[in-house]
Amino acid sequence: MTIFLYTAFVVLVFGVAVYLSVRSSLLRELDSSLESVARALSQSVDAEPGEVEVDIDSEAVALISSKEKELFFEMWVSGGTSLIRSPSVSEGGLRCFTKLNTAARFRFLKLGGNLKVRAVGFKFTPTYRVIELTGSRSNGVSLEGARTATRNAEPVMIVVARDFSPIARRLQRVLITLLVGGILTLCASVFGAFMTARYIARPLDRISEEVRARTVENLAPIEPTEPVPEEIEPLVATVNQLLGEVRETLQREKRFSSDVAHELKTRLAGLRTLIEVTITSQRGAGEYRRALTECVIIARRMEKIVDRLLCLARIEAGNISLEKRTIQLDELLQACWKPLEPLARQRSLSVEWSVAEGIALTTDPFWLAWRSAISSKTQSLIVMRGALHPSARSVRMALSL
Amino acid sequence: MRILIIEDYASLRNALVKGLREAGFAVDSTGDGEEGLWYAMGNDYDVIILDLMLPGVDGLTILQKLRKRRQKTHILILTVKGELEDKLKGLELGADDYMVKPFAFEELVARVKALIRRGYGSKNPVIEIGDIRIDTNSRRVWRRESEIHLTAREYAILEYLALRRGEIASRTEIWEHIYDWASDNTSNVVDVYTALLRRKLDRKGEPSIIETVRGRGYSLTGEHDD
Repeated sequence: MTIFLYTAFVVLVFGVAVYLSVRSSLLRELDSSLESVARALSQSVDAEPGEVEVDIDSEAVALISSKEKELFFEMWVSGGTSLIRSPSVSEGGLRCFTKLNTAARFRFLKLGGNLKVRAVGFKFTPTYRVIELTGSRSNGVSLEGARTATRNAEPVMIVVARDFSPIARRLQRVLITLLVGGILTLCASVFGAFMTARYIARPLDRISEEVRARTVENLAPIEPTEPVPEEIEPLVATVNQLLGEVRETLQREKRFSSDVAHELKTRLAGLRTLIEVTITSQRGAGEYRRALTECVIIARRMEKIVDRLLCLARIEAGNISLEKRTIQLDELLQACWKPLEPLARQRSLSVEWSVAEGIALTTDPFWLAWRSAISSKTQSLIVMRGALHPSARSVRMALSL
Repeated sequence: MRILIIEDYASLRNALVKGLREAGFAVDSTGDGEEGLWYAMGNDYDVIILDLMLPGVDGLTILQKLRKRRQKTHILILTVKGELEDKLKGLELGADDYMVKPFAFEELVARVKALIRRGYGSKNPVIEIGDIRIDTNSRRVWRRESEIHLTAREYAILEYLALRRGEIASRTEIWEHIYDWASDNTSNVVDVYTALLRRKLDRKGEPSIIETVRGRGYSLTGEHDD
């Protein structure tokens, strides 16, 4: 819609500009022509003392009128007497200029029959020459010292008009051409813009369809079957990156849920089996006490797991902020190894340290879980190496970047 | 019958060991996958109860390695993973049974016993050999209408021989299936308990139900029904 309105505005402005330009040009031409004719006609005025007349006879006027059917003219003196006028003009029919002077003035007029004409009018003063003689009548007139003088005759008004219909028809044709052309241009522009937009939008539509087709179960990256425009490629890459992040997040959540289920269900299984085994037969008080104590230990561990889960949930919700600290990994390994040294000595195992110093990590308080995991792994290593490889003499602890 | 439990959660593992031993099984156990694989490959267990999420080597890898060695030990997977695809995967890789935690201990014992019977080609929980009737569910023995009271070890040896009726079981085999690593035992313990069994089962003037095959082992004699 915006493209349509914009294009329409541009076409309209252009069309108006062209029309006005053409009209102005035609008018200028017409006015120039009218003024030339008027000036030419004004040359046909003869002036004598006390008399002004036009040196064109009625036959010539009729001839001019028949040849120039669109031409109308009238000349009159300041007293109002018409000197000459074209036959189709009534007396005073062209006297519509309020005040004429020597400069040509142009205007539109409506003649009888509602005929629109373009008229030019101006005033001019014909002149005549006189010979001024010296002497007086009683002494006799003498030609010696005679001089000629130019005298002004009575001012004459002239208006020449031409039928504007041909010009108007031409302007109409120009207008129609501009209108049709403008409409065609508008349609072509809109169509072109539409096709261009479709060309650009089609890959966007396809990508939108692909994105709509993505569900929790289907987060595969978008792979366009047709080449996409260069401008769309960053969008596809961004969408695929987002899908990848969503996929990872969901997998992480799934893994987390699975881990949580594993931890809680395993402890529940331990609790239930312990209770069921204990009640299968009559036992002494001591055995019941031991079993119940074990149940309490399991319950407390489950409580810790739930507390940690709540803590994690609060962290994710932003209700708890984590304080990060820097851990020296070599010190962490040493701390994990220290409690296991007696066990290793018991199994005649020594430790080979290949731990780079100064490797630090800035992390959250859950590094304590790492410590627990490292300790557990190391202990398992000692036990297993001792059992599986009785000839093994050492455990190698290595850490590097 | 001898069972191996590979379960990393100590409380559950200890409860299972205790319960299964009280049910009359010899039980070995470990909390580490690699160690469990080593035990499984080195011993002839009747049933292995196998957790899937283990440290070291995971349960499915242990399962695959044992099956690749064509080890015929019955394996019961005991895990928290209860989705259909997990069950299908475990069974398709060669597990004989699949249980999801938490579980009823009674059900576990019943499934273990069923696997053991299947291992020895016996479908009936009640084994009848001649006029001796052995109820493997209740672990009771009758001769005609009279119940014969046996100790846990005596019953274990009798049950083992009954399941392998018609075959000769060596002392080593009997020992391996009756005793676990935690058991106190001496080198002639099988002979001692076999003699005790004969004393309780045999009748005067009739041949012993337990035949000694010199140099090879023992075998249960008598007609038997499946």
